[in-house]
Amino acid sequence: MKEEKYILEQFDLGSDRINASNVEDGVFFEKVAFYASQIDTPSVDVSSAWNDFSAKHLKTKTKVRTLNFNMMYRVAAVLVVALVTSWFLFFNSEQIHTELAETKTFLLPDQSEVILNAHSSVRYKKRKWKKKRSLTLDGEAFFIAEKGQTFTVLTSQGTVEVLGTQFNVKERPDYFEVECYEGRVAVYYNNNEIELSPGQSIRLVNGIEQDRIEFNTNTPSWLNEESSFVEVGLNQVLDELERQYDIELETSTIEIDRIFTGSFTHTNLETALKSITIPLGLRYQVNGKNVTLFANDEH
Amino acid sequence: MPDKDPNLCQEKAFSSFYTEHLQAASNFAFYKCGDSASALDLVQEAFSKLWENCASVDVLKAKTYLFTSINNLFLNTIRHHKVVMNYAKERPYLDRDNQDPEYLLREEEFKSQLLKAIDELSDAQKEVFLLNRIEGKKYREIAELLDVSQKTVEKHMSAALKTLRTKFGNI
Repeated sequence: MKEEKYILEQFDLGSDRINASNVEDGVFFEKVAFYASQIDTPSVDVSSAWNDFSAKHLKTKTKVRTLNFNMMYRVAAVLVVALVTSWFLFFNSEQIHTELAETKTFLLPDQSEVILNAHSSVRYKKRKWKKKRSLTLDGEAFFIAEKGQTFTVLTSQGTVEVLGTQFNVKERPDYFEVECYEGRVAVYYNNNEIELSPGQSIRLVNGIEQDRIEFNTNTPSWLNEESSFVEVGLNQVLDELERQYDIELETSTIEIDRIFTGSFTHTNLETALKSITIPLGLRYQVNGKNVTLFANDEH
Repeated sequence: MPDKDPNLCQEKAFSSFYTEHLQAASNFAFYKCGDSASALDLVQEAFSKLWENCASVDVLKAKTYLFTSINNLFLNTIRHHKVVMNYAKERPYLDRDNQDPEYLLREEEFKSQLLKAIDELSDAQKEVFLLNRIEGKKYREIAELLDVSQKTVEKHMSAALKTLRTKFGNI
């Protein structure tokens, strides 16, 4: 350490080297300092170097900028597509919608009849209907299709095609059901095709096909202000109850993945609640629009 | 706003930063690789790195970033060329009044030995020594530039001087 300091001191004395404590060292370091500072460095032509640099490296940055422009074009294209789509959706297409606890009956341009269950909607293109009988369904509806070209019902979980017949389509979260009441109905889902004859139905829960159940009614039960279920998950039944009565169910203390077979009326909430809770050994409490379900043995 | 906080992502600001530091950066690269062409290549590449990362580099740290980049690029790519250095022409001898041919010869001898001795210093010692001598930078400035402590710079410097003295002591 001492030597380090000494050396640096000797070296940094500058013109004061006459004071150097060791004359020999002083002379030597003066020489080193003097001649070393004469060493030449290649001088750089700044402007030509800059031209070279900006040509090579700044260009790449400009490219990035053009990419950004492309991004803007993309955004613009998406906006245009969205606008055009929404124009077709809102101005060119007819939409019929039901609230909770409401059903609607209406006729399509070719006199085919649609009965829309609670909290459902149907969308179709009025002008194109004659060319293409196709509509989009969200929820549950019963169709009486007039004879004619293929009648198509599109849902998020599958497609139903018929020629002229009566059938019910129920499309609810994680649940898809088609019942054929007359004629023949073709159901398409996940690349599968299934043909239904009168009295046959198909059910998908979470996209998985359930056991086929035959039925012998002429119209869906909900048209007679009743919902009936055969081996359906309790959560689906309770969802339907909420839709039919516009209520909120509190079910946190009960098991909702049990299987339910039975029906409930759409005209009296107390009766409906009883028809669900009694067979399952549950109790209920009504508090305005809120209904709590709990197990019988709880107090 | 641009005046208060000059952002290197703006081409104008970057260009003036480039112009201001190109010579010093190229000298620094030259001390390392000893070849003016590859020195300039190194410097251009370091500037390009700075330009790419202009948003994340603090303006006040940009100079250090530049020199550190040169250092890293040097270590990664070129490694140990012989430094080919020369004295600037037409420079006087230490004792201007002494025109004795023997003296002049002795001084020339000393100068060429000095170059050789400097070239044999370690990279770190050479770098500090030349920055101090040729650029006339203070140890504190060198420390800032290389992002090391002043103590480290002084250590390299004294080690360089010690090596030189030992070498010449043998002559």
